[in-house]
Amino acid sequence: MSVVNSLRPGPGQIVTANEIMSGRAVWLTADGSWSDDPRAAAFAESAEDAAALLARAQADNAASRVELVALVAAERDTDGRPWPVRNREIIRALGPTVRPDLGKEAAAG
Amino acid sequence: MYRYDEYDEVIVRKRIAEFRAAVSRRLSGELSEEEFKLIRQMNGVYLQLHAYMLRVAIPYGSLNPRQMRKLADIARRFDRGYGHFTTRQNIQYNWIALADMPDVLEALAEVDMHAIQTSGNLIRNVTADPYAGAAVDEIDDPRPYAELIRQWSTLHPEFSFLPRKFKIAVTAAPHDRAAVRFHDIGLILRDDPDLGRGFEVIVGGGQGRTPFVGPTIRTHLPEAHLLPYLEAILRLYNEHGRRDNAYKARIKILVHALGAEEFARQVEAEFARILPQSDDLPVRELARIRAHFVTPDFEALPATDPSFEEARRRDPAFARWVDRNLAPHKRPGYAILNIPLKPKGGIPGDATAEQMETVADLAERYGHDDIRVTHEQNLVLPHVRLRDLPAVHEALVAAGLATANLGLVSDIIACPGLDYCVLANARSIPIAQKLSERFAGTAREAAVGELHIKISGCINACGHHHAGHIGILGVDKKGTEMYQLTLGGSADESAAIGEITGRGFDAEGIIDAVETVIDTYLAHRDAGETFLATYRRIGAGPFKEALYGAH
Ligand code: SF4
Repeated sequence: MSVVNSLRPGPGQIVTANEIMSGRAVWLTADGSWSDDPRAAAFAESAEDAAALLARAQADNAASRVELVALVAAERDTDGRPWPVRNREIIRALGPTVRPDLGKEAAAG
Repeated sequence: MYRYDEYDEVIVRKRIAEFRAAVSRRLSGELSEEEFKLIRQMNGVYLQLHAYMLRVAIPYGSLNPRQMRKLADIARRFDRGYGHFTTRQNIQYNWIALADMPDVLEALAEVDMHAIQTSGNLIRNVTADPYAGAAVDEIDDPRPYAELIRQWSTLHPEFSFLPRKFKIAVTAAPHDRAAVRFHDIGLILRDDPDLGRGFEVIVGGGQGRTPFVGPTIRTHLPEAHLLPYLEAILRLYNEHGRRDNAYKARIKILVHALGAEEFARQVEAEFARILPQSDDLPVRELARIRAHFVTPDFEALPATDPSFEEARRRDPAFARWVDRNLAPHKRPGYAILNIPLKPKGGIPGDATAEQMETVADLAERYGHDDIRVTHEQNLVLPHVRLRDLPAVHEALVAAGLATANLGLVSDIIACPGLDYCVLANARSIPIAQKLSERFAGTAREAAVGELHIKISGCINACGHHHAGHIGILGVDKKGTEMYQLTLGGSADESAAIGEITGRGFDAEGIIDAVETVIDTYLAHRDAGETFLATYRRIGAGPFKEALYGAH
């Protein structure tokens, strides 16, 4: 599984966290739910939008839905959907690169 | 094998009940993330990139088959069918749901296991020579001492909030298989012709951001004085260790700042003060603990076995495996069997539930119920009869555990790195896998012989890269995974910290760079000379030239 190497700040940001029960990586969507797929995430292009998303996520942290809330750099893929920029975040999105059998794609398929 | 007493049992059960309550209080929102984090970490639970990780203590790396089977059972029932044996002689699970954690801890408690002392700023799980009780070169079994330290340090009220974590390793053999010079305290048991039995005490070794080979502060400490002396060291550290800066909080920084001599002087002063007040409890305790480490019921056997010799002649694969993975046992007719968890292209230290069960079965059938975990992420059956080795080999082949590569290029240590770890800068495992793919089982690997490659995904150095003959450190350079190369490190009695060769390499380049280093060694070595010996003789120059060209 290849990981794109880039530290461009990215044109936008998405909010990520770990779901509290399973610990799995999740992303905050526009309707306020959490998705396993960063492509479903709400994409903030301004500082205000990012702050609003973060506030919503922190409320979910206080309500014990998620842990380790973070705003991370993102860009849009060719279909216009958000995708994280940093290696670490891409690996969180895909699962361990050394166990593709256990990744998110495998779990979904 | 040591059995828990009632006291341990009570502590463990109480901790699980507390943890269960904490989990439900976090889930109900009563505890904040920060509050809960402190509690979960005290119970060995970390939140990693994809899931919760549970680190289970394996005191001095010693397991019985029942415990190993329980580890397999947990892997299957609560994880995804595997576990990861670490450089701390522990096991980590990568995928356990928070709600299951208390049940997993209960399951562990059924076999006298727990996750206490696997995290936090306290005295961590004590490690020891994995060949303890079997090695030809040991003067005694070091595990009773390790157990004494474990009991003394478990939930020690004075030392539960140290400036930083604290690791102690014990060996009783001249060949150091426990990396004692890279621990906060390293202990080497020796018999002195004049002074009798005692410990060499090494303090302030360690890896991480500021690596040190620990200096010796006492060449001979009578065994009866062990605990008061450790207490003196810990008290000094507890008072003067730097709590203001996590990067400077380990005891190695204090020892280095004061100088080993001055540090030793202050320890001796405190020791002299407390010694008269200490009773002989440790000595009595030691006797009680020793009684639990029963010497296996060894058979009186001749030094060789005809069926073993016959299998060696007949089966080249068996012969290679024997030549590589066995170590001499103190009893004739027995061997110490290493089981590398390093299959070609595999993930260092990972074992499936089925593999754990195979090892448990073999230990039960052929190995006096004894299993060890090494800091090189391998397993050991310390007591196997030579005549049983063909059957053991056959079972290991079937389980994918018969790789004949102990100590060779493909016997690589690698930390979880960016595939799992929240602190990582780069991936470690794929580098190990690519190196293994290139070298494992090749004639070149056999020609190179003893060579230890160690890989860490960040400067915390869980993959012990500083102590690798070839060390690889993953860094993040402007968003790209890059790898620094160090040469000449060593973890045994020739302990040394590797030197950085120069600028780093990308993920492809590092594989070629290792190949270049190996080529250079082969071109320069004298007959029978190991990589480390050649490196020490010719220095870094020829390697740097081969890697970067003449400047
Ligand atoms: S060395 Fe760094 S990346 Fe590797 S396990 Fe330790 S903290 Fe994680």
